Amino acid sequence: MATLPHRTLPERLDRVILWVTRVLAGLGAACVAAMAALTVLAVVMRYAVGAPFAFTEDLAGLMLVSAVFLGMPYALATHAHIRVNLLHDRTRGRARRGLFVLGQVIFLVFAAVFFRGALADLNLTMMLELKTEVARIPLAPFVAMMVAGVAMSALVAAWQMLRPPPEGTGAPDAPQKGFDQ
Amino acid sequence: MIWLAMGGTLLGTVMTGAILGASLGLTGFLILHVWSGGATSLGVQAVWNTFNSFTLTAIPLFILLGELLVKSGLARGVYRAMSPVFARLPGGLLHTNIAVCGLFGAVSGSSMAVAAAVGSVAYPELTRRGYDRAAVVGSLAGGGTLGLLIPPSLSLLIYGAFTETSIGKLFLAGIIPGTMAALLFMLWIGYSSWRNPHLAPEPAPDQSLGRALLGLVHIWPLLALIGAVLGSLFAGLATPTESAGVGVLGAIIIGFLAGDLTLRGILEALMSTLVTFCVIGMVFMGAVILAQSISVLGLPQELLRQVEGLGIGPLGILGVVILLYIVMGTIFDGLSMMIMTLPIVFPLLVGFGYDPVWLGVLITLLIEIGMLTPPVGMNIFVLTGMTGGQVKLGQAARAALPYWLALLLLIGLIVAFPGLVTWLPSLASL
Repeated sequence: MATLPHRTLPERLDRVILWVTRVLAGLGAACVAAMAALTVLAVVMRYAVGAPFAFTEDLAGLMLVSAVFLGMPYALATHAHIRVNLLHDRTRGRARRGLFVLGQVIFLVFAAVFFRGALADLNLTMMLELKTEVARIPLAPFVAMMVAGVAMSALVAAWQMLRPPPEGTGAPDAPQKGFDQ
Repeated sequence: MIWLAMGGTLLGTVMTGAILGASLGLTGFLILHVWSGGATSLGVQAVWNTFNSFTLTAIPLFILLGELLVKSGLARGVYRAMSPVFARLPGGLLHTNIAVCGLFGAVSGSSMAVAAAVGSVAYPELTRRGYDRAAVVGSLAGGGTLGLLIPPSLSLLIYGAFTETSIGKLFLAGIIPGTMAALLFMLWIGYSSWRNPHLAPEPAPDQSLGRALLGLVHIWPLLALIGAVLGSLFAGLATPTESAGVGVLGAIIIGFLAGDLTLRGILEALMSTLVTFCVIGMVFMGAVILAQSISVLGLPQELLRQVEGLGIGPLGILGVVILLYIVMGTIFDGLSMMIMTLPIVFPLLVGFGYDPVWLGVLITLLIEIGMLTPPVGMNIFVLTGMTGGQVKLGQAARAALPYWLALLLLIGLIVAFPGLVTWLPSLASL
């Protein structure tokens, strides 16, 4: 009978974080698919039926915001974001760990300032019941997604700070995976 | 004082290895907090307004288009069809690398997607035929850069969205320099193979030219896709976003009919598109906050006045910017470098009278140079990885050097003759 690999509590938490962020990223990927479908439908409706949708541009923009903030925690969890690893690759041991923690603290401060501003925006959006200009789609759920995405990213960054720094890749600012330009 | 604080914060945070977007954003927030009465919410609102945009949706859609092309394995068929045509030139199939990269560049906006798609087919094939491994990697690294210049181009798209420059005109402006870059690359291949025949040892094929040209009918899937994407855009039938959407649909249909695209491949393409876009989006977010902070304080105008006061002149300041980008290209990847510098470089150079469309193409060429500059030249990095250690980073960088110089020559040409860039867009009413 095969035995399950023994995992420590931090390793289990790593897996839970990766799983949760991957699910969110899956929703983000669905938003990208929806954007593509909306855009194609808009072209078809304009040229084939002669009756373009009024909501395409509004909804596609909101899908884009959603995709970015749903995918951000996963990109963070997989260390895909761009960093300049010039010093990181030239340090070892405590110095490397110290640099990594400092980098994570910088992200956390950024996320905290952003979160505060985004939360204020959410309150205002809900209070004024703001909607998109053309299609009159309520904005609050999408602003809330921005707030939640930043909060989730901050949680991931805070957890990563307690874990060992990622290994270098050999190229100073090469992401660990995924970046394609 | 404010410049010192900005430079110090940015450099200090970037060098810790913090996420680049967070470094940029935090610097912007700091400026807003200290010099704009704590108005950090302006930065958050700028991010919302930027991302909640239909124009910007073209970016993930073009990334998706490139990913679908890689997954559909169309490169194999196209490479096979184009090989007999170029095999008779000195340099043989090394020319095919450039031509196929150029063709893929006309449907994909991504340099690395092009290098990866063509490289995965070309490298094993050419090494099997006895071509010099480093020369193959060099040609693929150079050819891959065409993906960024030949429209549709991710860098021109981001530049257009960031600076509110017509994306249609930017795409048109990339055509002549992109074609010239391909020709310069092929000239180098021909010359170097003539000087050193062991680079491309293959004898000329027995197949007649007519028969070889007839074989080009097999590239119809890619031509159809180019027609759908660029045709709809340049004919004014679709916006850049819509043409990207049409391209995605076309890539899926062609990938199923003529390639080996699967449903799983589509899902993987969607996921990797999301990650790529989030990575770019994070840098974009930080740059938007920084741009907002410095524009609120009117810093670009102040910088323009100060630089004018130094009496450097437009050409001098352009030289400084070019040098800065080449140096930064050794540390940053191209798109990040462009996004983080645009808030200052764009108003400065446009203030000196440079055309925004011309500037977009120039910056894209500088990014391409960065893609070939070690140690961060992403094309070199990806391709050496693909060789499984057969070609070292240093060998690949040396082999890519002539392509690097060709791009530098092209920059000199478009500075001397700006019409090479501005002529085509001036004919259009996009």
